[in-house]
Amino acid sequence: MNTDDFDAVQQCLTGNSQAFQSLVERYQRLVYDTVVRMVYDPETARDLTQEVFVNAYVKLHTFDARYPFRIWIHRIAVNRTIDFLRRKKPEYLLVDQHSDPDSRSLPMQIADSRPNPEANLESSETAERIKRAVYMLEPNLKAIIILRHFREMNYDQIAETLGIPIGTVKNRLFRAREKLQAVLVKDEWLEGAF
Amino acid sequence: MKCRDFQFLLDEYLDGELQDQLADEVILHKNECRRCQIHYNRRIRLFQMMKTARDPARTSDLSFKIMREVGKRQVPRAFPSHRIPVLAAVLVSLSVGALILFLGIGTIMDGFTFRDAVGTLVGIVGLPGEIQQNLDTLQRMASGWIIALKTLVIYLSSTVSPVSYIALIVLIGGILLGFGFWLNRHKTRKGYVSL
Repeated sequence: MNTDDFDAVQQCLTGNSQAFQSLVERYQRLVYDTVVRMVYDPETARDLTQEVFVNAYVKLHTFDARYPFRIWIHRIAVNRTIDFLRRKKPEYLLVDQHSDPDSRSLPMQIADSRPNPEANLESSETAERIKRAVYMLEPNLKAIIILRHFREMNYDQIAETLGIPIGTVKNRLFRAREKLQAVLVKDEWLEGAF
Repeated sequence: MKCRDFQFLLDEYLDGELQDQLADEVILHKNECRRCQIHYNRRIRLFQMMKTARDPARTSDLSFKIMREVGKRQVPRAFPSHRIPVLAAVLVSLSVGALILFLGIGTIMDGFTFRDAVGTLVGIVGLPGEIQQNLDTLQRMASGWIIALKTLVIYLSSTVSPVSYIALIVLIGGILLGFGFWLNRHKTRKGYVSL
């Protein structure tokens, strides 16, 4: 575990709530980034991020120092967001089925330094298409794709974050990618069927 | 290798999680099977597309709002969250200790054996429904528990020295406390974070 994180947690537990600020500053963007990819709405993502940190603070005494704080805060974020998505399911499906796919844009800007504007545009469109496809996955599959591809966690870390066996991680990743691939093939973002 | 196995293992291969021997088999199958080559190419493309979407989301600094909310909350305790076993350990230790002091180690109840106490306990356990309905029964049962506990203490006092007594109480308390700590650690490791 990062010693700075450890120190901050210890200070919080001894009554110094301001020590929590360093943890917030270190991990807020990471948490927000994961949450916003799952909920596809910046305002909701900000509210959930705030909730995640407040819950983490309240539950700080349950934190196990043998594991990285990053994994722990991710676990809270993913669990809270999955819970939110399940409760908001009708609204979430509504976006899926009826909205114009081009009318929504995830609040993420592609920082592409290449000089070619056409290439930038293409890359930006691809990124946007992928984000939409990921958003349309069911919450469990969405979480695992985000942790693997956007957080670049390995299987062990994903298993630890989600509290599931590695076999389940592999299985869900496979299913999620199959679904993504099917959507992208259907929309001709990937080459056609066999 | 079957095509289905290839497709499943390919993900592990591309994630860098596959053992060398299996990785060789995956590559071998890919080179031999045209259908799986198409699947391979699609997966590679999918992974590339994922990379384009990897740039982090940008948001304003949320720390002020978060810390304002945090300020309204109680400071977290460094003590384990599962207070019930810990509290139970403390209560059991205190009550047993108090009972010993109250009764006095030398006091013996005439005519009431350990077997009688066990019989009373069995009777109490067998009548749970009457606890809420009948106050008399409740009183009898309460006195049954007290008698049973008294008998246990007396039985122990006649066979165990006072020093061993204290050691026993500390041991029981220690076991319950240990259980509380174990439960706390176990639940944390398993990832149960209640929100």
